[in-house]
Amino acid sequence: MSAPARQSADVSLLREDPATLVHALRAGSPVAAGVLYDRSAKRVHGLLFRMLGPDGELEDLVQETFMELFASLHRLRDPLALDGWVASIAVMVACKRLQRRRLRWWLSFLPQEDVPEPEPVHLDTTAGETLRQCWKALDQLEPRQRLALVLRHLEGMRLEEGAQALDVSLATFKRLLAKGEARFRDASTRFPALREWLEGAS
Amino acid sequence: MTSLDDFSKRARRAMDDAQPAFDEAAGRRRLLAALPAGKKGAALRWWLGVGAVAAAALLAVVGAWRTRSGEYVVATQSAVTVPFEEGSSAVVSPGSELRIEARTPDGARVEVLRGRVDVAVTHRPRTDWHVRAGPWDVAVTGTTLSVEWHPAERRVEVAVFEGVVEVRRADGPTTTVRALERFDSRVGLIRPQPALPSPPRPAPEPTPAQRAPEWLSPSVIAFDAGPGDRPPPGPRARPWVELEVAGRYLEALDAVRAAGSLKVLAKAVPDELLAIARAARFAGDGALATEALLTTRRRFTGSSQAAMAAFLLAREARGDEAVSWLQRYLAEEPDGALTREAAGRLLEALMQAGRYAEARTAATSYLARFPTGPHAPYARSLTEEP
Repeated sequence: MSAPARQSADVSLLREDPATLVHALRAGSPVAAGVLYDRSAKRVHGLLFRMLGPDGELEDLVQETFMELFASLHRLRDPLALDGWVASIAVMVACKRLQRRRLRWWLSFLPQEDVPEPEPVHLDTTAGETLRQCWKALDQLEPRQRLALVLRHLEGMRLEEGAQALDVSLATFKRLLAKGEARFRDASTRFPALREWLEGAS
Repeated sequence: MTSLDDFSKRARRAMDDAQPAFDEAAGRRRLLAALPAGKKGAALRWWLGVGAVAAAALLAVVGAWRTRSGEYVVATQSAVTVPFEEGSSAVVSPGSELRIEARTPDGARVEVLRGRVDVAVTHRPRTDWHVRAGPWDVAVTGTTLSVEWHPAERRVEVAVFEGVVEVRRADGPTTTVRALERFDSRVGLIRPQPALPSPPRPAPEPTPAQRAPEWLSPSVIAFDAGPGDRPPPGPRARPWVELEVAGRYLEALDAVRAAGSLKVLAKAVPDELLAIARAARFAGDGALATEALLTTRRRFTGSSQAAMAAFLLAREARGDEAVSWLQRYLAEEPDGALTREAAGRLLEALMQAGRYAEARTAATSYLARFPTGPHAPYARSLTEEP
């Protein structure tokens, strides 16, 4: 087999087999690091966007996720759980970000419903206003309640997957989710467009 | 179903539409460029462990696959053979990485980023072949050698099978390494050890294939024909042996194929089988290499060559399969020339296979037996893991 063909085959293996990819990452392969980025960056970006909403630092947070990911890979026991591991790191990064936002709000002495968005981003879609209200309502939740709600309802994760991504027990995840749902509904009463969506849903 | 489910679908669709554009390529470049330049953070520690060389190489990955110079070869599960236009070839061992900086009519410039690369250079009037590894440069003028680079330890090992090479470090002295010698950057030049005692049974004069360096594989030298096997024929009767020794692997393989691979394997003596396996591996025919090694195991069970075959089969395997071959080698050669190496590689294979508890046990045994062995730091890290 020619050399380029063999190279392609080996890179394909990294792309297709998570166990090989994890092995190569642990061994410090720079090629494997690139493969992991190609495989997961778009998903991480989407996940962070749904968890955090418009955020001018979204791309920085993708970078932060990968840095954390490389640093923590030695703790991943089952290489086949790589995708779940990536999600859990992204969730951790999002959680830190939300905590920073709350700290900023706390330091600013603003009322809780006025937690400022990090950077107002114009949503150029017909549902833009409803979404903006949706994230405003999510801002009223404790970070972990918010993440539980997003992972379950916006990311479509099963309860077990959500618990794993949030690194909590299933029971804790259910509790966070229930509180998050209740608080989200309560907060939505202040946002007409969002309330309309929710009422239409129920 | 909760009442939020319908809302969720609607919101999900709207969020997908609203998601800002993401420039993946720019993000990738930014991430990779940031890593070697960074100064703090756990992630950077990971990268610094890999070394700046590897990080820099990562930058060269983009597009490198398409170009002839700056080509990047990574061998993960199996060895990758890289042919060069002027007739030379390089074999990148599993778990190793090679960057080809330049290919020229008279040679090439390559860099071992990690692991082991075996190089067979065809001698030409103006050969210009260089293998770099970290700060070391190996100038080759027509020979067969291996270069192994351990980035974490900043250590290079050069083993010369044929010919002469010059190893030099930038602004440092030059060391000449001749056939059967090796150079280790930690200890300097290592000459072959004296020949081992004669094998239990009288052996015929060794063929050229059996003249392997003692420090590499005494078991190959100790020819031990199995019962019923004919004594080894002269080199002329086995042209592939001469060709293999001369580093003409493709021709050796052609000769084997011309004589009928299966027929040759069925009749070959143990060392000949190992020579065929070696030629096949260097020439990129992994299937024939494996078959030759398995034949050695099958036909010469209990011989030192069969144990060597187990070690070589482990090199081509990974995970559970590699573990199994290494355990067989260690059982068959508890005090063999490659026992320390096999015991070290067993740790890596067990970890690869996810057999962490066994890896820790093996690491304890390794440290007890080889406290200063090359795998000792790795073994220590395993035993210290919570």
